[in-house]
Amino acid sequence: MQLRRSIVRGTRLAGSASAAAVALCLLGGAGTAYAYWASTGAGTGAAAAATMQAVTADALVPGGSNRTSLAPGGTADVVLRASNPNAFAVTLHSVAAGGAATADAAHAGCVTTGVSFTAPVAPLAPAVTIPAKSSVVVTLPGAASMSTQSQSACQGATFEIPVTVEARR
Amino acid sequence: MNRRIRRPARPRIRSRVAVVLAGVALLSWAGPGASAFWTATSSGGSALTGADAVAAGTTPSVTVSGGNVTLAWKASATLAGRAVSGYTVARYGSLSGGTRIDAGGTCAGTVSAGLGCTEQGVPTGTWYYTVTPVLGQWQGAESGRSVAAAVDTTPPAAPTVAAPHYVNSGNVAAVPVSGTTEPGATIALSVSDAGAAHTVTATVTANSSGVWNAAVNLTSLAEGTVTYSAVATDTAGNQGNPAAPGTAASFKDVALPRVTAVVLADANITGKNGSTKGKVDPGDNVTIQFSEPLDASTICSSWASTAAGTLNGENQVTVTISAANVLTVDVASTACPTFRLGTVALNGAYYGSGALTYKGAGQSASTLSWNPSGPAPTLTITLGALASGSPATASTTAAASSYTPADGMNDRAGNALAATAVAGSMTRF
Repeated sequence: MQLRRSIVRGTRLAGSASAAAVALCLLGGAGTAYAYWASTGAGTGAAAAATMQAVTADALVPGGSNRTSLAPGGTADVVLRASNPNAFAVTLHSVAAGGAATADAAHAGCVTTGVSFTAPVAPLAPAVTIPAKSSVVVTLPGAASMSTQSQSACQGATFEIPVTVEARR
Repeated sequence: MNRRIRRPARPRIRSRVAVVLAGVALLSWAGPGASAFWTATSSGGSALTGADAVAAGTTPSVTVSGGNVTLAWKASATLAGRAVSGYTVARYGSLSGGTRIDAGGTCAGTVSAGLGCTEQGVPTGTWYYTVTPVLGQWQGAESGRSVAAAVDTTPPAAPTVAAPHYVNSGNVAAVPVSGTTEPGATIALSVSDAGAAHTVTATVTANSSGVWNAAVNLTSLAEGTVTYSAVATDTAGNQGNPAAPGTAASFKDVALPRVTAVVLADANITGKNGSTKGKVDPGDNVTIQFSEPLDASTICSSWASTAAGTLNGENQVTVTISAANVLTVDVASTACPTFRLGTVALNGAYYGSGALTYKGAGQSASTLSWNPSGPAPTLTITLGALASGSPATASTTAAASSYTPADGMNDRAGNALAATAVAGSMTRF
């Protein structure tokens, strides 16, 4: 009887272990799947998962004296500052156009900028890693182009190009 | 006992199967879970790029020719060193301010080939040009204005032409021709003889006052009428009407006058001191003939150049025969401020004694007359009354007297009568 009880207990134990294992697998897989799929939705700076905050991009790049510049019929580099608020490093996966470029306030007459943004192929190469709670300045070579329709008032202007960035861990 | 021993085998197998299933489940779920990653997308951010700018144009240089203005300038670029795609050209009527006028000709629109252009048919006036570099729709700052481009499309009037009345042996190699025109204009001078058988050309430039001078060698032209034609081209390149040039004329005569005869003649006037041949008496005369009319004013400055002349006033003309039998004539300065004649070597023994002179009044006055008419223009010296001295009493045979003209006696064209002795025929008083 004791032996049977132990067998039964063993059988029950084995069954419980199997069930627990399956449940863990389901929970673990589901958790991972949640983290992946929930983060791909559109949003403005929303974290994909509770544990990963969005990487932000801004045009407040200091310096820039060595930047290339646009002229009608030409291309130039695009520069952005990517900030990672997370406690872990992330990789900047892609930078996509988010709207029309606009000239700075000092060039209000520059309505037809002629500026367009060509998104680099994702994933970015070489890879751009943003350390935890840090910012990096990213240069996208030749990503901006200017048509010959750019108005004369656009000379010397600084253009802000809306972008959508995607970071991965 | 056997039954108790066999019975535990089934639960053990079940247990093992459950463990295996759990392991398989773990492997099958944990694997995909390990390959997943976290991602976050953020919109609303922005990136930055900047624009170049076109530098200012360079001030063009200008060259004016008639109504055409040719410009040239140095290349412009952007601040980053990009070449611009072209230039626009404008002109203004003043050095500052004024209305911008788009240039025409090859300067019209955007000049994309080369660093220069020419605007044709620019209106008369003073213009200032600018150049503006362009790149697409971009325009750089307009250049400073050029120096003044004075455009003159009005042809100059026919220039005045002044040439000597005669072309003679003294000036034929460098005949002075002058006139007036627009300041700085170029004069195309053409000189031709009758029928334009021969033509000589010259080009001169007028000074800042518009006066021009030329010296042309007309040796190659035939004698006779010479015609001068001058056409001006102003500094703007406008040429005067070649069909209506400035003109003048000269008469070319480079033949030197010659003495063709020197004749002594006896008056043979009855009652006039018993005039006899071979002796000098009142009324005797000397005639000198020339190959062509002389300029009478070079004999007596009060005579007209082409007119006949006579000096016969009271004691106006004094004829003197020296001891060497050389006849000279003096004329009162009131009659001829400047008088030229020369000397006549009588080549005979007419002189006697004292200062042998002849002059007087009325019919007894010594006279000098000039007759340019006919094929042998003649100068005649006639002795008046004996005023002093005594002639020789012996008779002199005929001889060839000679005449030596004075310096400064010329023909009407200004050719000089050579001041060398010319022998006459065998004659006597």
